[in-house]
Amino acid sequence: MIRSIVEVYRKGACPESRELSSEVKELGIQKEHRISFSRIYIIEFDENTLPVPAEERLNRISREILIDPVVEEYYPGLRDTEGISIEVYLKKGVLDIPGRRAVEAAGYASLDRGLKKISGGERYIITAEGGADEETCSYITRKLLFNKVIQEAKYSGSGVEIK
Amino acid sequence: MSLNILKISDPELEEISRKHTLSLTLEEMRKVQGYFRRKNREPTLTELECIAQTWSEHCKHKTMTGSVDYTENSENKSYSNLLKETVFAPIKDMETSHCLSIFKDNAGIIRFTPGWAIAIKAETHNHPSAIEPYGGASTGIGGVIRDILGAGLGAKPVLNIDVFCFGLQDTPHNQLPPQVLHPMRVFRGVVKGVRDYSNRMGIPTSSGAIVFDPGYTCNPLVYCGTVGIIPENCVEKKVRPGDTILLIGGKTGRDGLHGATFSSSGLDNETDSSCVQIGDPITEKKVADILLRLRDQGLYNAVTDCGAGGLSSAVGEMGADTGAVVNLEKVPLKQRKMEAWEIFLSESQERMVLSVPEEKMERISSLLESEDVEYASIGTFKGGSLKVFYNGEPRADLDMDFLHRGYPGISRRAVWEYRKPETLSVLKGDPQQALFEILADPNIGSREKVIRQYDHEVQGTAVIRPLEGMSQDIPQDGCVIRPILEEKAGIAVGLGINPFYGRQDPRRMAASVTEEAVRNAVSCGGDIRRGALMDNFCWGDTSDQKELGGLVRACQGCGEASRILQIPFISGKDSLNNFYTSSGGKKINIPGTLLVTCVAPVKDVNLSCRSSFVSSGNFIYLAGDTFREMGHSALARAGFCSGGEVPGLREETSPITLEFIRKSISLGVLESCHDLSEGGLAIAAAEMCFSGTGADIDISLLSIKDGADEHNSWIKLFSESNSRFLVEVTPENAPRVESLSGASLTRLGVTDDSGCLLIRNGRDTIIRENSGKLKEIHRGALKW
Repeated sequence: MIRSIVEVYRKGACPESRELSSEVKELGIQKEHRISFSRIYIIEFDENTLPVPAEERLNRISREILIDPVVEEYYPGLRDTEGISIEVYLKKGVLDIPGRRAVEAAGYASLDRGLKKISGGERYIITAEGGADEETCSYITRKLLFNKVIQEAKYSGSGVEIK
Repeated sequence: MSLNILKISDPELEEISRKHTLSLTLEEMRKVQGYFRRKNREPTLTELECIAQTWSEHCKHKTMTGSVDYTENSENKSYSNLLKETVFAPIKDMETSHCLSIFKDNAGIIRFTPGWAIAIKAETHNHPSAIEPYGGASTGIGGVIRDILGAGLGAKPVLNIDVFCFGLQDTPHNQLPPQVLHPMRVFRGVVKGVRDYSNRMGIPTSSGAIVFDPGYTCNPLVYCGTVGIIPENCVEKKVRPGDTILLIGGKTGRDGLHGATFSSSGLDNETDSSCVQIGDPITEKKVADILLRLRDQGLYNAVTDCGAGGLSSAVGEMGADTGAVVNLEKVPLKQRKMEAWEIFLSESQERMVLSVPEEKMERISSLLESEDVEYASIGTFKGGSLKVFYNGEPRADLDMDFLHRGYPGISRRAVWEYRKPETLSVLKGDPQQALFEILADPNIGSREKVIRQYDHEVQGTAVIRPLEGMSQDIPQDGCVIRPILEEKAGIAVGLGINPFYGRQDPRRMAASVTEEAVRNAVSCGGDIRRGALMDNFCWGDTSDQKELGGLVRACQGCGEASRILQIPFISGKDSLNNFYTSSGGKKINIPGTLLVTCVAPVKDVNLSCRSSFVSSGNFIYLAGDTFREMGHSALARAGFCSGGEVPGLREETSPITLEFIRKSISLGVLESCHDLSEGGLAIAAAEMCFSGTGADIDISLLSIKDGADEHNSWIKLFSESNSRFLVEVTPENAPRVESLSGASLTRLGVTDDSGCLLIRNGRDTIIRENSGKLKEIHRGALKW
C-alpha cells in the first residue's frame, strides 16, 4: 500500500483564508493572527495493481481531478510554511463526499486502476506577528476550524490531537 | 434481538424507551406492551425502533393533531384535534377547487397552468444544524427537495426557499453555554450548506428571510422549502399489491440514525451524536433527473422519499394499504455489519423508494444503469402487514393498522393569559436617526451578502429576483419565476415571519405573518385568489402549559387569517421541543416562531411588479389604513418607543386592500409596489428609493385611524399596521387606480429625480437623505 498526501491551494488571495482571519478577531484575540486555508487529499494506491509509478499517477489525479487549474495549484505532500499547521479530517464513519467524488471522477478519467481510496481533509496554517503559540492556536481551532461532532484535528508534524 | 417488555413495570418500560432513544412516552410504551402481549411474543429491536419513529412527534405531529384542553383568561375550550379545528377549520367554507392536494402526500399541490400544478413544501432541520451547521443545513435542503420529488408521482424542483433564525451576530463568545456554537459560525455554516447543495442541484434559491434574536442562540432554526411543478395527471399515486419495492440513489449507512426521534426531543449540552447526515448533492441530482424521466415513461405507480425514519417510514407509509415484505440484505450499504434495525431506520440521504410493477423492472433497471444511479429491489408490497427479514430471518412483523393508527394520541393542557400591553410611549428623538438605526438593524438590512452566494439564475426562470434594479441590489417583497419557459405564466412566492410580535400575542403574530406572506406574494403579481398557504411552526417545550398555550394562540391566528383572506393552508410541518437544557437543568425555549409561505400563480409574468420606484413624476399612494400599532416593532427594538399593541388583522379592510393590489397589478397600472412591514412607511419608502429615484412624501396627508396624539409623526412613519402598500402610479393611470380602489387610498407625494428621500409633515422636513447613503447603511447591516 502506498499512501500519499496532496495539498491543494489557491493561486492568489483565498476568500476562505480572508474570512477566517477576520473571524479570529471576533474571538476577542488581541494579537493579529492570519489563517491560511488549503484542502488536502490522502491518496492510497495498491502498488500491485498500479500500472504506472505512484508519483506519476498522483500527479495526474491531482492535475486532472483535484484542482481547478484556473484558480488552484497542488503540491505533492504538505508545503513547508511558517506558522503552526493544523490538519482537520472527518471522523471515521462520516461520509466523505469530496473523497468519494474524487474516486468517482478518477474512474471516469480511467485513473482508478490501482487506486484504493481518496480521503478529503483541510489544512490551516496559523501565523501571527512574533509567532503564534499553540495555546491560542488550539483555542482558534476549537472555536473556528473544526466541529468535534464529525471531525478531528491535529497538529501537522507532531500529530498531537486537538481536543 | 428481542427485548423483554411483556412482563415489566412502568419504570422499566420508561427505561427501555430512554435507553434506546425511542422518545416514546409511558402511555405509548404501554400501548406497545399491550400489542405484543396480544401477539403473545416479545418485540424485536427493529420493531420497537420502527414503532418509535412512526409515532414520533416529527412524523406523527402528535401535539398538533392531539387533543388540547385550553384555558384563556379563565375561559375553557377543548380541541380534539388542534390543527383541524384551527388552521384547517376555514377550508370547509372556502373555494378550494384550485387545490389538488391538501395536507396529504409529501407536499401541498395547487393548479398552475392548464395541465400543470405547483407543489410546495417546507421543512425544518433545526437540531442537526445546531450541532453541525453545514451538514445539517445541506441535508435540510436536500431533504425537502426529495419531498418535492416524492410529491404525487414526482414534481420537478424549480425554486428553493431558505429561512433562518440565529442568535445575535455579536454574541460574546464567553457567554455561550458549553457545546453551543457561536451564532456567526452557525450562520456561515448554514448559509454555505444551503448554498452548496442548492447550487449543485441546479435549483434557484430565490426566496428567503433571516431573523436574529438572542432566543435562537442555543437553538437556531433552519427552514428549507422547495417549490416544484408537476403535470396534473401525475398528482395521484397508488401502490399496487405485488409491486416491487425499488430503492434508488445513495447507499445506506449509519449516518443520521434516530433523526426522527432526535428531532422530537430537546438539545442539551451532551448532545453529540450520529444524528448528523452528510449531504451529497451530486447523487441527488442524478436521482432527480432520472426520476422525472421514469415518471414521464410511466414506469412506476408510486414514489416517496426516504426522510426521517428512513426505509421504515417510507416503506411503512407506502405500504399502509397493501402491506410490505422487505429483505434488508438487499439494501446497498456503506458499512459492513450493520444491524437490521440500523439498515431499516438509517436516514442516509439521497434515497427514494418506488413502487414498480414487475413487468417494468427491466426497463427501469436499464435506465437507472444508463444514468449511473444505484438501485436495489428490496421487497414487495403485499401481505397486509409490515414484514422485515434480514438474511431470511424475520426481524419485524407489524400490523399496518397498529403501526399507523395504533398510537394512543395525547391529551394536553394549555394555558394562555392575555396581558394588556403597556401604553405606547415614544421617546424624544430624531426620526431620521431612527430610520438610520432601523436600516442598520440586521433584522431589516440587506441580505445581499447571503443572496449573492445563491444561484438564482440557474434554470433561467427568474422574473423577479431577490435583488433587482440596475445594480441588482434592491430587495424585493417576493419573487416570481417562470418555470415553463414557453408559457407566460409564473409562480409568485411570499414569506411572512415575525417572532417579535409573538412576545405579546402569538395569535396576532400568526395572523400578521400569514397576511405578510400574502402581501409579499400579491405585491409582485401573485393571483392570491388561486393561491395557497403553508405553515411551519417552530415552538419550545410544549409539555409546558404556557408554551403550548402560545402555540394554540398561533394556530388560532392562522385559522383566523385563512378565513379572513379566504386562502387555504394546504401544507405544513411543525418542529416542537426547540429548547436547550443547560448544565444547571434550566430550559431555554426558543421564541415561538411561525413561518408562513404563500404561493400563487401569476397569470402573465410581464405584468409582475417590482418594489422600487421606477421613474420621476409619478404619484405615490399609500393603500390601506394606519393604526397606532407599534408594539414590538422595529422602532421599539431600536429603543425609540415602548409598549403599544402589535398589529392586528382587520376582516373588514384587509381583503379589500389585497384585492385592490391584485387587480391593479393584473391591469398593469402600478409602476411599483412595496408592502409595509417592519419599520413601516419610512423603511418601505427608503427601500423604494434605492433605485436612485427620489421621493417627496407628505405625511400630513395621512390619517391615523384609531386617533391622533402627540406621537402622530412617529406612528405615521413607523407603525407596522398590516395590509398596507406603497404604490407608484403614473399621472395618466392615477384616475383609473383611484376608481379601482374600494380600499383606503391616500396620495402622499410624488417621485422625483432628486435622488433623495424627503419625508415631511406639511412644511416641516422630518427626513431628508440621499438614497445612496440609505442604501449604504442598509447594505452594511449584516455581518458576514
